[in-house]
Amino acid sequence: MNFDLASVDYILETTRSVRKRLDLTRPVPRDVVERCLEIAIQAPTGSNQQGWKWLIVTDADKKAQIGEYYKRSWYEYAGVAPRSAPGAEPSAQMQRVISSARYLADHMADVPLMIFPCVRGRARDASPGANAGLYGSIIPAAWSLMLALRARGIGAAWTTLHLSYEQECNDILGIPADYTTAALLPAGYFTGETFRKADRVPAAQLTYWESWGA
Amino acid sequence: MNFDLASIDYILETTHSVRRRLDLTRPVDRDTVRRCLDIAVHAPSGANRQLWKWLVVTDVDKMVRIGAHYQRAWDEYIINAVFSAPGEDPRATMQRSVNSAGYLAQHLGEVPMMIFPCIHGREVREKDENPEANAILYGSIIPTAWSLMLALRARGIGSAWTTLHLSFEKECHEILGIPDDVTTAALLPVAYFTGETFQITKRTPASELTYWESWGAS
Repeated sequence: MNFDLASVDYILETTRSVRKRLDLTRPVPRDVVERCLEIAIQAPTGSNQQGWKWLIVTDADKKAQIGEYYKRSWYEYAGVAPRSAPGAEPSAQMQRVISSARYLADHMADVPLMIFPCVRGRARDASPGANAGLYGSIIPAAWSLMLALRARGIGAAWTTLHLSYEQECNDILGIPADYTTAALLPAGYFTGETFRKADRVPAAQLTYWESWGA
Repeated sequence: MNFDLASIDYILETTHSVRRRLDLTRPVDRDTVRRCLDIAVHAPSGANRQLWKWLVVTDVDKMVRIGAHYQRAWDEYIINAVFSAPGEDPRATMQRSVNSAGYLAQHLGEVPMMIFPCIHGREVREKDENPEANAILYGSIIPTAWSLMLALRARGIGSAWTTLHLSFEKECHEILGIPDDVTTAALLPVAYFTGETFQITKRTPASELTYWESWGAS
């Protein structure tokens, strides 16, 4: 099949964590999410185990409870997280990130959808490679899901703060103890037309050839 | 900007781990890899910290040594592994996986390029301690590494998501000079793929794996 390379690059470069631009008033149709999930699970998993499960929550009461834990975790974290070099003022970009993340913490309960990508297994007594194998068997699919959603006008944010209260959240959602939740993706249609490319340190400055530091 | 939705779905649905179809004879164009890395680093990372580094290896001696560790890890792994995709005869799945993954283990040292997506920081290995820490660490490197695989595949370059070399993490990090405070998320063997394209693979449909509102509810 022929495909348009520029379209692929465009979506890869402009899929971002969306927070302030999530439309909290517009429901996301279930069939669109289902289509994106079918696309997402074409991603690879370790030994092709496909041990994933996808939990999607629209129920206002559950979202309120999860949102409360998320908010609590954010306000605990915001006070201690390293945001810039000691003594330095946070950069303008970092200030935007903080403002945006605080907004999400305050509105998490109001998002149309919460998506929890889960994978069977716990990294107990982890041998080298066990965690990499576990997370490597769910995060590619979850990122594919965000890309597929974004291409349909639906934004999401990659978050993990609710895991500070993993047990409490698992109780609310009924997630069994032998599953690992990789993230919480709040999702909704995004407002505005598109996204520009984020400012990034160019990969050339972060790439070593042949040996570390080279 | 207008974009073609079908193209995006197509690449997301047909980017798989490539093993037997890696062209071991053709060098990978470095500028193409650089372009793909620049695309990949637009993925999100925890608190936007972008703590990633990329190590790209084409040196034959280094790759042969890494390949030997990988082969050894594979030999140990295959003895205990249980392969079975849901809904498939375990023996058939095993045969295919063993054929394909075993082939890769045998030839890993011969690939034209290896890419190691790395992140500053170390995982937590204590029993169930701080599950958030590992989710943040791997959630800050795996999305960008998967974006890299997608961008490469869209340019005719295949790769496979592997982690077996981490059974000999210390040895491999020594060969590559990777510091102790860095985590290697994967080893991506990289090469142009042979043949034209890839099929959408057989999967248990997502509808059977998706719960709405509460675990166990459809």
